[in-house]
Amino acid sequence: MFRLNRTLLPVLLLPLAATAQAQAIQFGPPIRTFTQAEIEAVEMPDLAYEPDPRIEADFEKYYFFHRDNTSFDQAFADITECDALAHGMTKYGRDWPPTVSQTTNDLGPVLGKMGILSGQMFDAIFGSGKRRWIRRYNIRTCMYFKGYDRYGLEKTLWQAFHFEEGLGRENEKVRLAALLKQARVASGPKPQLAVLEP
Amino acid sequence: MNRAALFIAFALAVLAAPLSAQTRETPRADHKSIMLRQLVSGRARIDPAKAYIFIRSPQGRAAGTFLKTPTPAEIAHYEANPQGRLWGGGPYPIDVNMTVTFGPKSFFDRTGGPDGSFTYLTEVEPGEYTYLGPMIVTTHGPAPGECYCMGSVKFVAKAGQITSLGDFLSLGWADREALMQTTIDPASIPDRPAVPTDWSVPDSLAQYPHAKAELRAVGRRDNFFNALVGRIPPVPGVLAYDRDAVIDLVALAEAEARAKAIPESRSAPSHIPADQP
Repeated sequence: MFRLNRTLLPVLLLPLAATAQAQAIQFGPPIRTFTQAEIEAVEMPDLAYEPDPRIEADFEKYYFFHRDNTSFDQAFADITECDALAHGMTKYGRDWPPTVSQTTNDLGPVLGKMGILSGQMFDAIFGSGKRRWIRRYNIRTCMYFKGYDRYGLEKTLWQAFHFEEGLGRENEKVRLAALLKQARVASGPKPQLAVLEP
Repeated sequence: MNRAALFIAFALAVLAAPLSAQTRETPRADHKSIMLRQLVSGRARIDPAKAYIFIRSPQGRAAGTFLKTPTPAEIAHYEANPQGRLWGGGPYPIDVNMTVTFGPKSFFDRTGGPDGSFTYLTEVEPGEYTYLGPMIVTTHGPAPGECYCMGSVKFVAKAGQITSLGDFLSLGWADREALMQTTIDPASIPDRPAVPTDWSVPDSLAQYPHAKAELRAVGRRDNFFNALVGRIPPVPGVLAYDRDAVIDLVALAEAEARAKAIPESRSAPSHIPADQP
């Protein structure tokens, strides 16, 4: 299905051509530019593992993205955008960089103090697992829209440059380091692995 | 008493409460549902100073959220209003107060039982509205439903007029190829033929000024309600996608028309050579 869709896409877009790009709705800040030295300083994660049905059974949770002919700068911009959307953060708003941005994640405890609804109440019902699932779903959807392919990965290799996120928010340094490595992989050599469903 | 059941019931009741009730001291997008029986009895009326959004759901109840585009005055009020900063930290996005919701409870009319057609009529302030998606707004945690954060449509609701979205929001017009561009789960796409949108209003509203919503494409938007991320299918003549870039087809057509008109106007004075600057 994924390949069918990707095959159709150029056909669907034929009438748009270059003039359509001028009508693409702009958003967000300019993408960050990295020097070659900065890119090379980002460690390329190990992606090699022996195929195993037990590993493949976890591909719904452990995977990475790659897109051909994509620069590191673009991959990092795409990955950080999808990460922000998945977390519910303000990304495109007038206040970029988001020095005064606020998410509804932050609103919950405040409203809770006012006797309305606390984050603890919500999460007691829906749970951290549900939030982790939502985050995975949102990132996969966002990266699919951006035309990235998804590849399965062994769990410990995945953990070396990814993080799960449920009720809390990952440490920002850890987050940035992981996103940089993900961008390195996404813009790196084409993986010699089977492309998964998006 | 089952404490868990009580806990969940209370939480659901809170979730069902309109967001505006929690932020009533700040600028907000006023709106209310109108029911047919209220209109017939005279308890509600079509106010020439207000705008109205009509929606039809062909199969069962529906719910969704719009975002009113804030006016410069609303933005200025919001930025100057200390209420938005009382809750600690930075101010929340003004969009949180610009939500307009419809359904699933307060419908205008229904036909054919629980799985039949439900209609919704919402009184709003005149202005521009973006469809945020088939989602229910909550103030914390993942919002139930889908945010069209990566592509949607907007329209203008004019004063004294019923602006009809018909059954457009039910996406019956979208074929399989269009829906494939919106989901990572092809199995969730219904196996049915696409049908044209019915933009009409029911007889009970036909006597009032009404018009089809004129749709325009809108770009990406923050997922501030932490819903599932998605986008509306490409809308012929209105919106297309180039990967994740949202293409405004109305602006594209206008640009092409202008480009076509320019050479014609230049060629009109026949005494001027074509290559003259």
